[in-house]
This record gives sequence, C-alpha cells and structure tokens, in this order.
Amino acid sequence: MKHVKLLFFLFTVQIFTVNAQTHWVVFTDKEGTTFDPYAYFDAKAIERRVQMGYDLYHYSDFPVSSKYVNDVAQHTDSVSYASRWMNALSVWATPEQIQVVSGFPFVSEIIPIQQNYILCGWEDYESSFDTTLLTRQTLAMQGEQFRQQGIDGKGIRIAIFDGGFPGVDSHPAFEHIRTGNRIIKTYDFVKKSEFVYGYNAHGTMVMSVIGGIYDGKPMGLATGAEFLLARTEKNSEPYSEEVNWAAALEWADQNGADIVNSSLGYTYHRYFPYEMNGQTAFVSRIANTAASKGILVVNAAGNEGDNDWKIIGAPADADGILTVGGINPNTDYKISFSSIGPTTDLRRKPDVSAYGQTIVAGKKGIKSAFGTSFASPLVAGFAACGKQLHPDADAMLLKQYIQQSGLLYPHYDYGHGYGIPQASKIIRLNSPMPDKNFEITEENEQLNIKFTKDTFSSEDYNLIGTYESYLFYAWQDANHVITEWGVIQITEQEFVIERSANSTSATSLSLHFKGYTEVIEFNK
Amino acid sequence: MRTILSISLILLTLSMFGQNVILQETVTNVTEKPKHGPNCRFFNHFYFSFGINPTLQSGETEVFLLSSNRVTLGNRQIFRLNNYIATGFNIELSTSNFKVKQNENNQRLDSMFHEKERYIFKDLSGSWFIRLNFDKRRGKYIGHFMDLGAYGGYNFSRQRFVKDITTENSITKIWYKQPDYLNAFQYGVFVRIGLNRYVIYSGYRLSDLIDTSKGLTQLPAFTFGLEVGFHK
Repeated sequence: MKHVKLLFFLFTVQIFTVNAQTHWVVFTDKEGTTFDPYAYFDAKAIERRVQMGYDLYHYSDFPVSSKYVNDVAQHTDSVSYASRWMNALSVWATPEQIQVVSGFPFVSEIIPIQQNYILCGWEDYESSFDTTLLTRQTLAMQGEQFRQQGIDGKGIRIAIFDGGFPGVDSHPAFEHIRTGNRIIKTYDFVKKSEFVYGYNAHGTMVMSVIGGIYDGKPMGLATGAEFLLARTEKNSEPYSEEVNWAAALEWADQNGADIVNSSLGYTYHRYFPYEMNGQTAFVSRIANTAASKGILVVNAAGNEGDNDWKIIGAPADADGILTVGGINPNTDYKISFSSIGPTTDLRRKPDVSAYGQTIVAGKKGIKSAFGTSFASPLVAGFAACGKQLHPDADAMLLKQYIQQSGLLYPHYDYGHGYGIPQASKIIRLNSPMPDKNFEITEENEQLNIKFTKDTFSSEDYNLIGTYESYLFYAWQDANHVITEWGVIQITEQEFVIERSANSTSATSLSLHFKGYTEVIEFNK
Repeated sequence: MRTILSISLILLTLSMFGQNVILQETVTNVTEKPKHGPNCRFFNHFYFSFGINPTLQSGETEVFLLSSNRVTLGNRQIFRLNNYIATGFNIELSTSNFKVKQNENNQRLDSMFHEKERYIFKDLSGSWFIRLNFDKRRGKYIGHFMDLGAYGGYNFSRQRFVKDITTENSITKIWYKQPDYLNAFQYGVFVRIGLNRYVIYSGYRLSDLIDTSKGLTQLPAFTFGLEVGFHK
C-alpha cells in the first residue's frame, strides 16, 4: 500500500504544479498616475504621433497604477508585466488567489493567458537554393520599381517579434544593416535582456526577407529600413508568450515602430475556430490597439489551410492587422497550407498574399523555407516602402493602400485576399484597371465567357500554369459574403459557367483575369 | 447564416467546359463550438500504450523488468461535463507478459529452475474513468489532465511458457494453454496523467492472475507506462 500512497502523493504534487496559472488582472482606472511622453517615448514615436495627429497624452499610454500593482502582487505568487494599453497586470496565481484579487474594487476583469503559440511554419532545406526564386520573391511584388525610385524603406522603423535572431549580428545578409547601425534596439522579453542574437533562427529568416541582401540581390524590399528586434517566444516556456507579445507591442510603440511583423499564430491550443472573430483572443484585441496608435501590424495568416483547423488564427483575425496569406511560387496561386478566411464574423481575411516559399538567410548560409511566416515579412517590407512613399498615411490607410495594390484588386477571395501587392499600384494610387479582356453574356442561367483574341490566343498556351493563364472567381451572396471561390486555368478562348436554377443566395460573381475584374450582379 | 450558406453551396454549381478548375473552395463558416473533437462534448480516439510490470510488493513473483510488460491498443470515448470534468470509457485489447526470474524467492509449480519461464495473458477489457482537466482556458485541445478509473477484463488467452535445456543440450519448449491456475478475469484501478496526446499511467490490479492455492506466488500488480493518443 505504501506504493499506492506514493502514487497519490505524486499526483497531488502534479495537481498543485499545474494549478497556478497566468492571468491578466485588468484594472478599472489608472488612479494617481502621471505621464511625460517626452521622457517615455523615443523621438520617432513622438514624431509619428504628431504626424498622425494623435494625442501625446492619451490615457492608454499612462502607466498602470503602482498602488494597484502592489496590492495585487501581495495576493499572488508573482507578477511579470504591467500593460499600459490594457491597463492590466500579468500574474501567476492559484484559483484561490484569483478569487481574492477579483474581489478588489479596482479590478474589472480577469483574463487567463494563452499558453501555446505556433510559429507559422518553417521547413528548412539546407541542400541547395534556387537563385531564381530569390529574385522572384521580390520581383513578384515589382520590387524593381521601388528600387528604380530609390524606395527601400529608408527612415521606416520595423519591429520584428520572433523566437530569436541568431546570425543577425554576423551573417553577411545583414551587413548593410549593421554597417548603417540600423538595428536600433533589441530586447529579449523571455530572458529580460538586450541580447537576442541566439535561440530560434526563425526570426533571422524572417528579418532576411524584410531587408536582407545576399550576393548583391535584395531578399526583401525594405533593405534601407531600421529595425527593432524583440524575442517574444520560447517553446519550453509556453506560459509567457502572450504577455511577451503584448509587452513587445508597447515596447515597439515606445521606440517608434511604424510597422510590426509577427509571424506567429494562436490556434487550437486555446481557441476553437468559431472564436476567430477578432474580438476573443487577447492578442487580437491588443493588435487592434496598436493599429489605433498608427502602427501597422503585419501578421502571417497561418499554415493550417490543409488541416482540420483550416482558417486563420489569432491575431491574424484582428481587423487592425494586415493578414498575409501564402502563394505557391511554382503555381502562382494559393499554397496549399496557407490558412483561409473569412473570420467567423465574416470579415475578409487574409488581406493580401505573398510567396509562401522563399529564400532566406538562416543562422549560417542561405536556405529555402516554407510558411506564411515568410510571406508576412515580404509584405512587411512592401509596407515599409509604402509608408516611405506615403508618410502621412496612418496604419489603417496604409493597410488600405496595400490592399488596393493587390494584383487581383478589386477582386477578392478568402485564399489570396487581394493578391500579391504590386509596387506600381502603391506608387501610383488608384491606377486604372487594364482594358476589358473578356466578355460575359448571360443566357438561361448560363454565363458565356469569351476572352478577347489578343488577351488569350493560342500563343498564350505557354503561359499555362502561371498567373497569366488563371481566371479567379468568387461567388458572393447579398451581404457580400463569398460562398465559393477558386481559380480556373484557361485553356480555351471561350467557356461556359453554369449556374443552378435552384441557386438563391449567390447574387454576384466576381471574375478576374490578367488584372481586369468584372462583377456580374444577379437577381436585381 | 451558416445553414443558408451551406445550402447555397450545395445548390450552387459551377461547371466549366473545356477549362481546368485548379482551386475550388466552398465557404463553411463555423460559428458554434463543434460537438465532436478534443475538448468538445464528445471525443473519440484510439491510443497505444506500453507499460512495465515491475515487482514492487513483497510476496509478488520476481520478474525481469522490461521483459515483463503490457502492450495495449485501445479506443477511448470522452464525454465532456464541463471545462474541468469529463468522464469516459475505454475498450482495450492488451497483451501482458511476465518473465519470471528463476530463484528461490519465487514459489514454483515444479521444483525445476527453467531456462525461461513466462506467463502471457491476452485480454479484452473495458474501463470507466473520471477526468480532471487543469487548463482554465483551452481550445480544440485536450490539455493537461488526470484520469482516475477502474477496469475489468476477460483474459481470453492465458498461457504459461517454459523453456528448458537438458543436460544433452536439447531444448524443450512447452506451452501450457488456458491452465486452470491462471484466472480468466481481472480487474483493478488506474490513474493517468496526460498532456494532450502524451500520457503516463499507472494501473493497480486488485484481482489475482494466478490461483495462489496451487502453490504459486502472485504476479506483479502494478503497471507503469506511457500512452500516445492518435489525435492532434
């Protein structure tokens, strides 16, 4: 029987070990606090606020009440971070302690904290890399047009949140950034130190496709940008990441970030798909706060597209975030694993897309890597160029410009968003659509599509398998919710789309071919 | 809304003549918590486990540690009662092996020391358990848990195996099938601690596997093992 007793002792220890959890303790007010923005913010953060006309003394930037922090600290195991934006304190506490704290008159809400995150995928292929792909990953966004105009993200500050940046302090791909002293600040939110050049190489890869240069070739578009590097994730300590992510956002704001790239997502560990509505996940809520302060957060859509989860995770579901899906560079349409939209409150996500397979700089050398983790920084680099072109645009306007610069715009679907952002379209806003390149005639619930001869002729067959040969389509209902979408490879000049006579909900069909979009309305 | 969308997707057909549809997605918006799946009302999954049957208590037959084991393939049905408590049952097919040390401490049916001696049971068992979950907030994910339960099973195959080498170096192997001193039924209690699909477990058999009235010591009652669930 002594062994049975031992077993129960061990189980009891286990119960108590997992019983203390991290929580946000949200306060009702910021009693007795004062705030000096000129002491707190970096000059660039002040500049952004002034430029955007934001209040320098906004209540959300005031510190959390030290009295409240002390009171809560006395009744919990430990406290780790006080968020100004959320007016909340993250604590380790048992359920009993939480019950006591929730009774304090200055506590308005208790929120359990996320435990597991997923870096949005990376498969490492050391063997060889494709120099063609290295060129194409920026060419797909018309990177050469930015370069011709001298646009490289100069003066734009990009914060990267990731699991580590080994090699950024030594790899030749970042030499131009180091030489220019353009790594402005670093902080490891896991270890609470400034050293970030170790740990998980995911951040190194991500940074390379924002602003790296390899062998004279740009790996991303923002080769002239400034960087803030934050290590926010650590696999073996899964209780801290959500706090770190929130802390890093405020740190990025304080240090003048214009753009944040975050290639992580929270999915099934904490949430159900139905909760991906932009309001449930804490990180989604705080991402929206960042947008309201003029910071554009660019986030990977996620790599759940070919499994049970399928849809985008958090914080990519947040309205204020620019969500980036993945394109297969070998086919020019959605890469199979890229998570799809819409959000469960039927908002359009992802917003745009970029290559989901890229050439990246690893800890050492150059590699090929897969994942929307790398589509997101490609677009973050594009966003930096967009910000340089349109410095007066706030986060939401910049997001809108990037959406409108999508290759497919104004056509939209839940896999590609508005497509790969195009430099020409953000350089010249409201660029005219190409001439009509197909005719549609409706006849007895049947749509006859005929491509104009010079748009698609027999000579075009060598284009089959590329964007140039694809017709993108999306059926929409009366609420502009897409009910079905896809891509058709065009092999003949004429074809027919048949619509069931029983179909009642689809009221329009959007078709996109070679830059031209037409929306056909039904049931008028 | 979701229903309307789903119906419309069924009704809406898109047919292309002479074209190649290379990507087609119909939108199924999930606006409610599903009934089936991890941390849902019902969840069913298969699992595999491997455990050892060590000699821990005085009076038990001394066995070789790793050669005395229990291998299980099972199916588990879980019913979620609330965020912290679930219940469920398992249906398992298992093989238990006990490789008996040949020494004076083990009482034997005969006076011989054998080259090898094993007891092998194959059983079909069912069990019921209560699950305590420790994660305050989790999604489509089982998370940290502890199961407490009881099981009972039928030993449909019961064998004793002995191998001897004679003085003439000839080998004899004898299988005693369904002997009357090996019991047909067993029951016991168990506890499992898990993190999602990975589980450590311990079982304690309350019943005898051997009829000790025949002059044999009882086989070890404890099992300690690892289990892997076949789910995400």
